[in-house]
Amino acid sequence: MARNNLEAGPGLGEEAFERFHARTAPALWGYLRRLGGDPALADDLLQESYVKFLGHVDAASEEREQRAYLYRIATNLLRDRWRQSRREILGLSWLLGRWEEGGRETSAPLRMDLESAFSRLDPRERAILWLAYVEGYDHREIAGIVGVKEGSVRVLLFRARKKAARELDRKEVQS
Amino acid sequence: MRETPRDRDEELQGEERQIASALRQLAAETRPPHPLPTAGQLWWRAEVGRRLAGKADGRVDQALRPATWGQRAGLAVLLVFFTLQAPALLESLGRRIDLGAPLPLVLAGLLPLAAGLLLGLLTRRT
Repeated sequence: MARNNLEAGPGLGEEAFERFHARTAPALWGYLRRLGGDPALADDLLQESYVKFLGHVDAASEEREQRAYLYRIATNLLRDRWRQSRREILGLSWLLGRWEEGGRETSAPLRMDLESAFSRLDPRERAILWLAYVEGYDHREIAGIVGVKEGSVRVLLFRARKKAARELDRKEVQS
Repeated sequence: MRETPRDRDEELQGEERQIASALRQLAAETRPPHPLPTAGQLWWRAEVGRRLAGKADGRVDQALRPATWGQRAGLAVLLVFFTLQAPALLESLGRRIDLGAPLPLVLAGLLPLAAGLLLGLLTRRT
């Protein structure tokens, strides 16, 4: 089959990529959606991320490293979009915004608290929180993805968590 | 074995656990409202991009090559001409033209500018 004769990227085979894609695509979309605040932007960046990933990934590396590399590409693309459009506020809308995917009324109060809490964090802090607690990356990996020093991740994560917790507490006191 | 976020919950305390739990709930609720592009589609897009980039690079190289050769040849001819013929030409012109008149002075001033422009055009790659 002609398709099997093609070589995309310097190494990752098509079947290996299919498995990798199946394991990473929904989670990556969620990351881009919540950081970028826009489902259409998440769609665009998801495709761009995988295309760039295919062009440069080291097939010999472990899947965890490949996954971190994919998130680094996605984070850089998101940062580029913010710079291009000069609409940093878009990044803040990931928890302020549109819950149009609908049908989840049961957790609405928690979501509202999170919206309020995370709207006060800057995009980098949100990325770090997400990568640490949703994706389970360690400080070294987060530093590589976000582009900061490993020691800074510890501090940024601590500050972001404190900020978010303060906001959540404030909401609880008010309600 | 890879440590999962759930494994890490064992180590989390108090507010950290609260934040982690809230974020994971948010992540679990964040699902694409439509099917995402398949791996096959992305694979082909990457492959097409790679091939187009390769072809484009080749074409640009090929297109630039004759121009570069032509520029180099032109420059060489000019250098040879000025080196060998310029003194004789200027001497001949000096005999016929009154060098104190305004027109030859203007022309003499414009000559270096013209030569500079010509060299600039010839050495430009595009």
